[in-house]
Amino acid sequence: MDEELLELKKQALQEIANAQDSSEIVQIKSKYLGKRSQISRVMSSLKNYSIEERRTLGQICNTIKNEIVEALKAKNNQLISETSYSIDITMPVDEDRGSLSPITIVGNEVCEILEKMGFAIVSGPEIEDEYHNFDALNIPSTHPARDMQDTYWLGSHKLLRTHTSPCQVRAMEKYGAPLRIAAPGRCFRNEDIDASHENTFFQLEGMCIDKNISIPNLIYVMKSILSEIFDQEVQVRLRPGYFPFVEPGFELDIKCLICEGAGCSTCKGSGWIELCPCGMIHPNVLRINNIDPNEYSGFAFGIGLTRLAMMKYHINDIRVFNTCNLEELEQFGIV
Amino acid sequence: MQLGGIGTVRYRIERNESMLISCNLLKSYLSSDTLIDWLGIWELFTISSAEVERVEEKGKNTSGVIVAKVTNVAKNTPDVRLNLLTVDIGNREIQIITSATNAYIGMITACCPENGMVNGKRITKLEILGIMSEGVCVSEKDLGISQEHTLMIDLPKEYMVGRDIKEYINLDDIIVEIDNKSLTNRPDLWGHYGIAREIAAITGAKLNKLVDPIIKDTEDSVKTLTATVHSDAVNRYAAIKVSGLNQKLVDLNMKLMMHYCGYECSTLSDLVSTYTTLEYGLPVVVVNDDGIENISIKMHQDNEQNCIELNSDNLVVYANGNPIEVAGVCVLESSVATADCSSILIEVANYDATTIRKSSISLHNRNDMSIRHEKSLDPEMVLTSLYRCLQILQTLCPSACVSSNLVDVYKNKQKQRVITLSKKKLSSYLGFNMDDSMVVSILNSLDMDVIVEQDAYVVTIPTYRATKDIEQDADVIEEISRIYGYDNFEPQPLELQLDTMRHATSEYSIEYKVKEVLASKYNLHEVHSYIWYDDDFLKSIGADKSDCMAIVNKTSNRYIRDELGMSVLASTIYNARKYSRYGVFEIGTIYNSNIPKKQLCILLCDSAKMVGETYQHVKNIVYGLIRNLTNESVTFLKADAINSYMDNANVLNIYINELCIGQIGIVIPSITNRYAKTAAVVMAVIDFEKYLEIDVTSYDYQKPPKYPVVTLDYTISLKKNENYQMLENWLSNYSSPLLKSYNLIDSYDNGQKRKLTIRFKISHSDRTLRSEEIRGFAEELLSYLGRQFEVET
Repeated sequence: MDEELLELKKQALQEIANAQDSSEIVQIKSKYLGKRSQISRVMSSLKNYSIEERRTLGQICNTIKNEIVEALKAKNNQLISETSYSIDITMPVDEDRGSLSPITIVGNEVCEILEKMGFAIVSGPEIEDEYHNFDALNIPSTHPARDMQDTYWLGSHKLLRTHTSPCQVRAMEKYGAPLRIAAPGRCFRNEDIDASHENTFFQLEGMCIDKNISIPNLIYVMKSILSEIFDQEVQVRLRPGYFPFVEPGFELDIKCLICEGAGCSTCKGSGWIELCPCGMIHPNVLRINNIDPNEYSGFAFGIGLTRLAMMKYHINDIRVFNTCNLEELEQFGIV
Repeated sequence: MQLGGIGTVRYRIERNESMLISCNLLKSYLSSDTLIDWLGIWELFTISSAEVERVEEKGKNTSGVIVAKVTNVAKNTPDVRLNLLTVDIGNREIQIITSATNAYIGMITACCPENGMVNGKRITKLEILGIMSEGVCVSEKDLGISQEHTLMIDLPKEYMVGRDIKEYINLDDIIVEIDNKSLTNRPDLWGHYGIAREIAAITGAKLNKLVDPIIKDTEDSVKTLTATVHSDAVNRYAAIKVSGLNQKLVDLNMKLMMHYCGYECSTLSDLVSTYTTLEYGLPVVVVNDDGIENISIKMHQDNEQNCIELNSDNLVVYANGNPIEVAGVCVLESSVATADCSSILIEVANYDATTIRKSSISLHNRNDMSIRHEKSLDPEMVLTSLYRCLQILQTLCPSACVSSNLVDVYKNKQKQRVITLSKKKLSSYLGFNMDDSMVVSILNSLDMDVIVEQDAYVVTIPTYRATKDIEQDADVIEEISRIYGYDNFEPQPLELQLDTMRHATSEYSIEYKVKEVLASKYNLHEVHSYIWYDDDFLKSIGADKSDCMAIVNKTSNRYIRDELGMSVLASTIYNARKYSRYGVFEIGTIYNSNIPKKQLCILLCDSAKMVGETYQHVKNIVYGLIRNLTNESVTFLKADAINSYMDNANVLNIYINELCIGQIGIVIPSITNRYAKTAAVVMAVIDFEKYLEIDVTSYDYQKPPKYPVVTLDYTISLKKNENYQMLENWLSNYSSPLLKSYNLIDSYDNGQKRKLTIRFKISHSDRTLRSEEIRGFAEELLSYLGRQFEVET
């Protein structure tokens, strides 16, 4: 019996080795391990043997059975692997990706918010004339901002615009009133460069002119814009600020998002962060641009995109935005 | 002759960006029954008037300092530099060891015995060289009166021994720092009195009115003083002479307040003029009177020989024909009233703000005095300030007496302004109707008289607000709204505007979409290069851009870029040292012949070995960008380079229909090699305004072929002098009703041979192609190709 069983095992292993596909594996399994297989028959006839023989034969049967099961499993795995694609699915992904300037990302976020409020996104030239940059914004000819220390002059009353506010003038000239525009853009000031000063920086100008535009409208719009930008309800406060093209003029502060007004290093202990200048458009500005200040009123604001990007990405060196250094820029994505 | 700063501004020159305000002085202008939280009021001040940067309590870290009398000075200490003093502190005598050298028997001074505190430091008994010191003598610096720290304070004899020093000297004060920028348009807030007036307005406190002081009689033999003004830049000039001064007299409280406010004063005239300046805002100037009789003020003439450092931007005060002062900027050194000067000329003036600004800038000497004069202060305060200065001087120095007549030349009189504000406009700005009573109450609190009419308010503006601050109705609205409190406004949404200006946004949207595609689809990085060329880069590549628009007031990097490619190349080429391959882009403005244009520059840098692939990649990007975003077809035609840094052998013009919108080229290797020897740079520069003009063509739906399309691939071997364009040109002339399209599917180049595999798609619109038709097409095509090229079959 022993030899017979060993011969059976030899035969089974041989057939397993020769199997070509999984259907053959199934047949072999049925043939050697099925109910009608020889091993099953031996196992069911064990009761006819003595206790001693029963133990010996039983052990042999179980060993053979296990060996056949293992052989079938191995062969099956072999056949599966031979028919699949052979690739290394653990290889790393290609992390190469492009990036938008953080200014573009932040600027577009603000533009999207303003577009939802019916603001059109416009632009203006970076080289401006004195009229659009100063005169038409009620900035007197003697104003310090016109000094050589502050403005890059190009001769013939041309200059590199010192703010995006000339876009207000160009929009009023082109579209008249009523009007809702936002103008992101680059500005230039005669500054020595260091970690917190740049001669080239980015602003976004906003302006709304219509009948009965009020200070509460300005507060509402600014609160809405800033809440969306910072993705949370922000508390704003206005305090007096002087800018020749607005009256009343305000400095807008937001309650510090880090300490929630308790006072921290970010807000220099005040609980508030100065964010952007704004105000009701000065009647002189409306008048210069052929809009009757007795019929229309409006508000304007200037958001420092560079400042906003610095806050959003925790950048503490303003020079990052103009470096063109890929080590800096590749950290950003497109959102 | 050298310029010298006037005494009153020496210290503050260094910190003219903010102003320090003493609450003790503010309190003196308000009715004593006013209850104000002097620590808490500044938040309200910030949102109503001007930004407060810092509030600091002074004196709270000093306690237990008492008036003491020196009863003995012994020098028998083990260290000869130390003195052992016995001082009477009222209830007993104590011993103190000090290094101060000015102690004398009978001296009234300040000391802090055991358990007292000086500047936060608790005083304990201390054994020094075997002798017990039971306290410390304090210096002026210890008490915050001045920077002097080596001497004991020599207090007035009338101070009573044993009393707390705070009973005599107001060490406890609250000092407030206000940002000067927020006071730019508030000339009335440049003095303590103005700040007090503002606090009265926002709290309802009662302000003490200014009363011109009574001035003591002049000397019997008053000398005549004359003043002549030769310039419109002088609005008002007043001066008077005083003699009999003892410059060493000092009022400790005044000195302390000056120090708290950031000023150091070394003489009596310094102290008094500075104090008056801080009270009313107008700079009070004191010069040495060495027989001044005639004063004249005029713009400096360049041909004057008397002072080589002055220039024609300077308004100058002359005494007896000699310059003594740059008006509103500084006193010349030879005229400074020094410690031994007993006769002085006190001047208070009001000058044209712009003239003073130009003058101080021309001398590189913007200081506390010039900055004040730049703010258009109220000329009506000139005499008040002058009299106040005299009054204090005569109080502190009884021997001082007026030694001249007063001169007061008031050329440009400041008038009160009357403004009519319509109620309708006020409501429009506020977003609600405010009661007449509230409007009147607010304006009255600001010292403005109001006449209420049916539809308007007629408001009279006081002179101190009328110089440049309040000029029209919107300015009055600001006054009403800020005192009402911006925090009290309820936000109101804008009314829905259906007629939006969406069309105006299209340019921005396209620009953003282009940027997004370049970054997300082609993995390029957006950069912002400067609008001006980099001089070093221009020099390194031998480029001359001196015909470009130039910035007048910039000494380097002053030429405005006239094309974007060089600007992007210069700004990014340094990356080639760290990155073997990279791609960047910028959409930016350039100025060509002074006309602004917007360009798009795409720059790819890779190994020089890969230059063919890189070039093709740039072409693919340009094609994809245009095709995907406009659905227009793009063609590339060989052309000459329009930029000197491009290799002329490999330039393609980019066409949409027949419009050339830009170029693709390779940067000359000699330029690239300067920064990275093994790199090559391929660039595309596109006229973005032309790109924006391309109309987006919508797709016409075409039904897919009903019958099977047959593809035939043929490989063509190109000779060295042949390129794809030749093949393309040849193929474009081949026509067959069965040929639907063809495209390049593979290329092979081993340096010796170049092979291109073209896939041809053929089909019949009415039926399935028969094999003989396919065979026939193939034979015909191969025959056509074979006439010009070598085809592998």
